[in-house]
Formats: sequence, C-alpha cells, structure tokens
Amino acid sequence: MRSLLTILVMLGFVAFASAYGSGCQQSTRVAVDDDEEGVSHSGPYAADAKEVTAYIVKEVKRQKLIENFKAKYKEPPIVALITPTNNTRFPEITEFFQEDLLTALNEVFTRDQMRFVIRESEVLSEVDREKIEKEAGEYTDRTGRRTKLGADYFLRAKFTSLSVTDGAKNDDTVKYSYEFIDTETSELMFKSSKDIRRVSKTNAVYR
Amino acid sequence: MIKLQWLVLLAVLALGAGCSSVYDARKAMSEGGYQKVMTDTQDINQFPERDRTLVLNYRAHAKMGLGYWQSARDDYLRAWNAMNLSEGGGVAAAHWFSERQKFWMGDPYERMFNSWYLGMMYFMLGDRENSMACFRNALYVDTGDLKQGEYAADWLPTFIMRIRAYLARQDEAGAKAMLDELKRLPKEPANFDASCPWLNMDAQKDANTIMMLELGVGPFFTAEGHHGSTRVINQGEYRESFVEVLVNGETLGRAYKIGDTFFQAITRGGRVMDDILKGKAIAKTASIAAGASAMHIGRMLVVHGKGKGTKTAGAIAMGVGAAVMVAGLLANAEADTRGNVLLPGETHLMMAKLPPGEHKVELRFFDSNGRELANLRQRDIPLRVPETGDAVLLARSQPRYIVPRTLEEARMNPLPATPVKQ
Repeated sequence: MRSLLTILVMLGFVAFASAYGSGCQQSTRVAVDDDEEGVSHSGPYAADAKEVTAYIVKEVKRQKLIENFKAKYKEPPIVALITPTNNTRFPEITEFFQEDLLTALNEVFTRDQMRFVIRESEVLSEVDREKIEKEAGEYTDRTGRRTKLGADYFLRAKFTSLSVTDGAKNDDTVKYSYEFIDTETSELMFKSSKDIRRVSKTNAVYR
Repeated sequence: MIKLQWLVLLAVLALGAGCSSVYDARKAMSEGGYQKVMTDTQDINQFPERDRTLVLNYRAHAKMGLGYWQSARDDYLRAWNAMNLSEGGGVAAAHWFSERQKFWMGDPYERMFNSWYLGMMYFMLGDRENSMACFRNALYVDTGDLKQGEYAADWLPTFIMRIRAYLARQDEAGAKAMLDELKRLPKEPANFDASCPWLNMDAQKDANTIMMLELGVGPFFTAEGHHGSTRVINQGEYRESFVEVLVNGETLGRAYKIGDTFFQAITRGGRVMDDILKGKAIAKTASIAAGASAMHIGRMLVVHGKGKGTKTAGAIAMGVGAAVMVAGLLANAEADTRGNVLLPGETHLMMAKLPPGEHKVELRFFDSNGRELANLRQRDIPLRVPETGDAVLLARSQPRYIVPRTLEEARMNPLPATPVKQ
C-alpha cells in the first residue's frame, strides 16, 4: 500500500514537472483601448491607434478643410488614401492604423461632408473588370457611363520610429504623421503627427 | 535504504520530465524534406508551449522552401510577434530545472533571420512597406548595447534589401544613408566579401534583379563541460563554397558572399544565462556532495550512536542530507541547446540588370577547390523580371527551395484543411 502511494506521489510529481511552464489556455475579453492588460512590449498597441485616430479626426475638424472646400466647390471633397510609409521596425501596423482612421472618418463624417476613393491596386483591377463586364452587357449599368472618381486630396500616413535598446530595455518612440495634400497643386493642406513612446523591460536573464 | 532509492528514482524521473526533447527538424528533413516538416508541424498545439515559436519558425521555413510564400509569411509573422513583442516565459523554472523550460525566443541571429525571412516574404509578395519594417527590425535585433562595446548590426543582406526598398520608394537619400552605414562596417572576410561590386549607388540603381543564394547549413548548439553547463556553438558542415549563376544559359559569374550565419552566431558575446548555468553546476555538485556527507554522518550516528537523542539527531541529519542531495540531483545545469537548425550557413549575392520578361536561372555550386558539386546543380528556376521594380530570387543549395512561377502559386494554401492565418 505504501509503495502504491509512493508511486502515485511520484507520478503526480512527474506530471507536475512535465506540465510546468506549459501554461493554461484561456482568454478574457478586454477593452481594445486597455493597454494595461495583455502582453507588455514597446510596440504599438490598439490603444495607440485609437488615440492617434481620435487626434487626427479632431485636427481634420479644427482645420475646417471640409467647410473651406464646400464653400469653394459646393461639393464635399474626395479623399484618396495613399499606402502609408512604414519606417518603424514594426510590420503590419500600417494596415491597422489606416483601417482605424478610415473607419473613424467614415463614422464621423457623412458623404455630404467628405467622400473617399479607394486606390488599392487590387480593388482598382476589380473595378476595371466590373466596367468591362458592364460594357459587354454582362452587368447592368444603373447611371449611364461613369468614370473613376478623381481625388481632391491625398491622405498620406507616414510612421517613423526611434528605436533603441541597451539589452535590458526596448525604447521605441513612434511618430504617426498624417498629411492632406491638394492633388491639383501638391499644396500641403494640413499635416499633423502624434508621438507615442513606449518602454518595455526585456528579461535580463532571458538569454 | 529503499526510501533513498525511491528518492533517487524520483529525482531522475523529474529530471527526465523537464527535459523532453524538442522536435527534431534535422531528422525530419533527412526523412522527408520540407514536406515532412510542414506536415509534422501542422498542429502547433501538439508541441510544448515553450517550443512553439521554434516550431513555428520550422513550419514557416518549410513552407517557404516549398514555395508557399504567403502561408510562410503568416507563420513567420506569428513567430515574429512571439520573438519581438512577447515577454517569453518559464524563466523562473529555468533557474532551477532545465534551461529548456524557458519559452524559446531565439538568439539574436535567429531573431534576425526570422525578421529577414519575414521581410523577404513581404517583399516578394509585393508589400514593400512591411518588408522595410522587417529589415529594419532585423538590424535592430542584431545590434547589442553599443555603449558596452557590443556588436552593431553587420549582416549585409538586410542592408541590401533595405536599399532596394528605399529605391522602390524612389527615396535615394534613404538608400544612400544605408550604403554609407554599410561602408562603415569592418571589412571582416569571415562575415562578407568586401570586393562585392554592388555596394555602391550606381550599381544599386543600375540593377533590377537581386538573387539571395543560400549555401550550406547553419550553426547548432551542444551542451558541454561541467554538467553540460557550457553552451557551445558549432559550425555546420557543408562542402559548397561558392555559386555560379547563369541566366538563359549565359553566365553572370560568381555570386559574392555577404553573410555568414556562424559568424553572426558567435559575435554577440556571452549570455547572462551562461553564468547562471555555471553557478547551477557548482551548486549541483556541492549539494550532492553535502547531502551524501550528511547522510553518511547521520547513518553513522543512527548505527553507532549511544542514546536516543544521538540516534534522533542522526535520523534528522540523514533526512536533511537526503533532501539536499535530491535538490542537487533535481537541479539541472545543462545548457539549452534548442536552436533553429534549418538556417543556411552562408548567404551570397548576385545582382544584375535583365530585360523584363520570363527568364530561366541555373545555379552551379562549387567546393573550396573549385570542383563543381554536380548533384547540387539547379536548372530552370523561374525568374520573372517586371517592367518596373525588382525581381528577387531566394534560392538554396540544399535542401533546395521550390520557387513559385507566379504570385498566385505563392499565395496558395498548402494545408487547405486549415485556415492559412491562425
């Protein structure tokens, strides 16, 4: 009996030793702008995107771009988003920030205030194909012949970073810049940026 | 004495439990190549959490080798997040049990290679901006604490591809800054061939074709010394020494060495963990010796002692000695030998200006005596040069990479039963 008990204790110990460090899998729903929860790092957080987006939307309003354009042309400006420039060390952030800003602008402004055109090559090739199908009579053409919309402004983002480390800490300052460029004159109508610095400790004994 | 045997057995079992072996990618490669590695690693969750990032790198490499670039990119990105943005784990356990309890995050050169391949996948799939970020991160993780005299990034392939990404943006100033930085690097022949003719702006602007050609196998780790506490970096063995490139049957000449993986592995200095392991090895030996001595003294007191008090003290000494000895046996000072064994030994560069259109590339590999290794010759590698921008070829001597003929092929899902992005 004692031997059996000993074996059971041993098996339990071995099971514990085997499982140690494997962690348990569970997930908790956390607010998107809560950067206290989750993995700690010095890269961009979703909270940063929310903060930058809110700031840029506020700046667009403050600059009265829409009012000035409508006063001149009696129509809302058409804005094309240009592929952002990513000079940081973090891949993928451009898509997230771009999507966040585009969604926020569409939620804040109606089509009477600001209109957007897509300039992604994949979308444009699909649009071209659709036009060909319409001309061939394959698809209906509701409003007569139309051409692709020209943009009044380019909205261009550029992300740059200062990234330094001493082995114990990662220190990343990311500058999120956005600019509206007049497509007729190349005039820079408005440019604004938001800097966010994050420092994270690396585990000094990890390596 | 029976109890002591149980305790020793318990310690041995516990040690064994903490040292379960990691996926043997090299063996899988010898058995079934990239296809076997990809199939074996289809379900990442079957591997211990501490090894998953390494296994993800293996799976990504296998997919890349089979020409599934988009799926490889997704895996590399997932591993990238773990290697660059996560805190790791298992460090406390590694202080007492095996160092392998740590979540694998790779040495600097392994992290650099992860960013490098991720950047190459982005670049070849047409996403210059994300590739730029990856190449920058490759340089970042390859740089130590410069104030402490540690190494700065000196692996040329990332410099070259950043220059290409700058030129694709028509940012000549950015490309020039990279070239200037590159020129300041020590001309270390073990690292790169300084006579490489494409390390200037004119050559960079003239070329529209970049070939990154990988030779041989990269370094691997072994645990040696006192209780295996010293991690030794070993150079992989391979015969190929240089490569000649032919396009449509006409030779472009010999490619130039621009990266040496072993050199990268050994030039980042010692690890903090090395000192901890040495301390553990000393403590382990001391604990076992002290425990055995205490048990011996305790036994002597129990057997030969006079009076109940002396015998009780002897029993306590035996118990304490046994506990100390078991603790010593449980402590594992062996160095972590997990490492990415699929990396190449060297990276060579060939650049050229080719007319737009479809081309066929042939690679001929030679040993250091100039004898061709005929079994490694690769013919009819597809290369499509666009009207504008760069054609990029990533190839390897052995095990050779399959190069997709079109982007549609590169975007195919190799495992249709599972979603590409997990």
